[in-house]
Amino acid sequence: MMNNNEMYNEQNNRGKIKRTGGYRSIQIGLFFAALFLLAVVSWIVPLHPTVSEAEKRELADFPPFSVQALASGDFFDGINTWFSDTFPFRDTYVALNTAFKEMLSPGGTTIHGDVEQGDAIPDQPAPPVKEDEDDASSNEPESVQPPVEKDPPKEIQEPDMTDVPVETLGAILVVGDSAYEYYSFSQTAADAYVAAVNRAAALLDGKANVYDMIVPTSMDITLPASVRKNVQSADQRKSMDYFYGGFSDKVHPVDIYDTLRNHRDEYIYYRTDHHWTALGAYYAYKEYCAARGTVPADLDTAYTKAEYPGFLGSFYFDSGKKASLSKPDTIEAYIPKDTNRADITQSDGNPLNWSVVTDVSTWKAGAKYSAFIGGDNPWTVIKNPNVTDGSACIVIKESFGNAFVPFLVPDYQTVYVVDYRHIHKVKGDKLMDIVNATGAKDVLFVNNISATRNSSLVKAIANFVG
Amino acid sequence: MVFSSLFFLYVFLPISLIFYHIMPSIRAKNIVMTIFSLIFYAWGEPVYVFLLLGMAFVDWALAKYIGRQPARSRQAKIGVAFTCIVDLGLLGVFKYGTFFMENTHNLFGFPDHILQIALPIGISFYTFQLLSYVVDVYRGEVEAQKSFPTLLLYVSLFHQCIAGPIVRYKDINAELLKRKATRADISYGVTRFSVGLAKKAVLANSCGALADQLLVADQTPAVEALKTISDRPVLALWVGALAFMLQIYLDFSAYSDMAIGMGRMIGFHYRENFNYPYISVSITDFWRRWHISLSSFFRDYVYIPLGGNRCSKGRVVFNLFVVWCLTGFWHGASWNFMCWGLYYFVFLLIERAFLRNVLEKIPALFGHIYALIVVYFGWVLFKFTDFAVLGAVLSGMFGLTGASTATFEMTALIQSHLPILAISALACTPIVPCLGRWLYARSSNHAAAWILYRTVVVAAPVVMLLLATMSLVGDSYNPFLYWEF
Repeated sequence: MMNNNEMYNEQNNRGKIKRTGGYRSIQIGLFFAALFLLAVVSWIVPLHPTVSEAEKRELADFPPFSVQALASGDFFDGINTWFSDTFPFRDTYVALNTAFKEMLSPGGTTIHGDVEQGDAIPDQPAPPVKEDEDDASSNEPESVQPPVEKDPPKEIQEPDMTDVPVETLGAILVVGDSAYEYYSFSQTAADAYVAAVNRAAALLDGKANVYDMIVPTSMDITLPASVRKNVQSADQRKSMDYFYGGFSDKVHPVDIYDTLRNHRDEYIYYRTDHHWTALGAYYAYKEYCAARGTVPADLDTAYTKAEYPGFLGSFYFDSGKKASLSKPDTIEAYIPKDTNRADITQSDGNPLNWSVVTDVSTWKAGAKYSAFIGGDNPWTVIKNPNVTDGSACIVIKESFGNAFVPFLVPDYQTVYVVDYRHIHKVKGDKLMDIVNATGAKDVLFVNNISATRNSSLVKAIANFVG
Repeated sequence: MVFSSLFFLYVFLPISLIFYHIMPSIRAKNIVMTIFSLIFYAWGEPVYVFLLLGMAFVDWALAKYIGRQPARSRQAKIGVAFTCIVDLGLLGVFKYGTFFMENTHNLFGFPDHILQIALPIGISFYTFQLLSYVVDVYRGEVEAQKSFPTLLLYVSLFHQCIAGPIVRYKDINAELLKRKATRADISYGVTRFSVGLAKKAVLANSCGALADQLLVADQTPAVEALKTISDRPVLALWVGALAFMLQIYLDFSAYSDMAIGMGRMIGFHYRENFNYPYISVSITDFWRRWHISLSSFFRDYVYIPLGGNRCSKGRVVFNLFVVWCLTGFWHGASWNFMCWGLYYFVFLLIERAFLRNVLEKIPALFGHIYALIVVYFGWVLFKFTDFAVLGAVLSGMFGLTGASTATFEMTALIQSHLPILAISALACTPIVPCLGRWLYARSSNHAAAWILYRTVVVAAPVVMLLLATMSLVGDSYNPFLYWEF
């Protein structure tokens, strides 16, 4: 704002400035040099980027010309949008802008993005779905409680959070060097989700066991209670009670909330990304085995541990690359000793011989979560050569399932992985068709809790169930 | 196109300046400016640019006719009346047509179908410029412009055509055909422009984004806005309204800064449009400092012709009432703007009646506080076009909606914006210019002050330009939230 000085000086002391105004020529020259230099650079079309790595999106295209678009002004608007969206060296400016704003934001807690106001979570679970001839007892509140406390709460020393800075970014809470995703409850999406899972269990009754695992986000697990108590994010425990309470008795719930809580002092969620780590997924796997009544494979003997440092996840990019989130995470992966081979069908239909766990050491910082089963692909088959009993399971998942799948490898001859968001791109089969074709006896839904509040995702699950 | 877009800054402005400067004569320079101004206008309004051309042509022809009649003669009066009918008629149709239809539809059920008329950008500004020109010709204060291209340049000049200041023809009449930009002019223009740009891109946009987050975004439908506002904690509403108050001044005055700056770069001297309105000591004072080109328009072309102060008390009140209804209504086709105008009418009456005398006797601090409070609530009234939402905001501010006093999220949001709010508030005061003057005064006998002063003067425009570019690019940062598609 210093140059406000100018106008007044000039007006009041015009004569004086004229006598000693050589520096004004420098000022004018410098300003126009900068303006024209930036202008000429911005006219070089090849310097305009087309995609943004950081934002994981395609930048605006140059608008197509039409007389109608011209008359409505859309054409010129489109040019403005294209020009600013693809401004040369955009990432540099974005980084500078974030650094500038961070410099101007005191304190460490920030919140990024708009925190959504969700629905209130009902105390009673959803009524059972009609098509099951369950007796009324399944509607009683007792069913909300897990019948046996398998994993009693563990005493964990909470860190002292005083003076740790906090901030919000469009539904991300940044506390110190870690970020957490907000969660809100959606009644309609929740009921649709419960109905879809119940329907899957009813359809597969007698054919396969249906398991359902809802994965909480780090907000309710690892965020220290002193901060969490103030945050207006819906209670995920209560929300899960609603889900699990709404399932018919043909669905086997795999409630991992308390387990994860008991390991909250370990590295079970990334700081810079919304996903859980493989270690977090392993504890969930143990719960899954408990639900099946099998013995889980041992982390140290059945798998080989690998570390791929330098991971900067979605929170880092969504925050506009905040400096406080710039300390990278490390991908700790557990490679199954039985096999590391995965046969993937990609979204374009092409097959890909890939790995269950891929060495992503040299991959871009933002892409390293793809270490697990090659990222999000519609259809993946993992065959274990050391198991010959014909056992098979089907995992229905979105990205949270990726870190989980490798742990299943020792337990089955074949693990089939369906990404319900993409499966329709490569095969028209519904869940029932796949169960019939594979003879799988276990069907496991692994869904992040954020997916259960998203109507379009829940619809995709329901579509797949058929 | 707006001045604070990267396309304007790095394509339109440089190219127009290059063409302007390579032209050998003032005539050629004017043609360049006119062509670029029409492109500028057409960029936002490819069709309505013809409305602008048409209105300019009609008023040019009428003014020529009026100019040939004796000043204030009967024929001249008819000419002016006709001009007013055409200009205000078109303004009425395009700006208020939909609004009137909505109201008559609600009251009388007529018409059945409400025509949605799009508002041509800047019509309120350029209509007033044309009107002031024709009336001044009628009054014999200026000669009618013989050349249509020259009048078109005055009306369409992209510096001020779409968002003011409302430049009077008589103020720049001479400069239309004879102007010179001295080094001091260019230096001033560059500085003023870059300050305005940074004020808009860095401060006003940040305040605006904060106001949207704390209150509700402008485009939100009323039903949804009402729900959002009812849940807003008390603190969020108060700070949100403050952020809006800062935004509206910084945004609007930045636009005037840029217009004045670009004018100076090529030798036009436009009048100031703002004079630090938030340091006013009364509401009367505020309206002498806020949007000066608009309030002086109403003073010169409505209030004084109605008789101004020089008539009976009742008549003065009536004159003021008319002016403030019009001022309110000029800001938009919605009843809340009318209320906003009348709100000021009431305070101005009170000040006339007794408050002015009281304020003069007590310390100025009280006047400042009083004026800021009145203006603050004025902006709340201005911001919400829907009365239900407005009511929710006002009751929420006083804790009547049952929402909490503060939430963790809102408090964190406000805390992280405190520095930008403080800088924005500072930018509403003349403190920085005063420091500059002080430094300049020092510099004649202090070598260090002289060096510092020159360094700031030389570096400031470039620094402002880069800061603004960084913010403009940074604001387009729009990460794809890929877990919610």
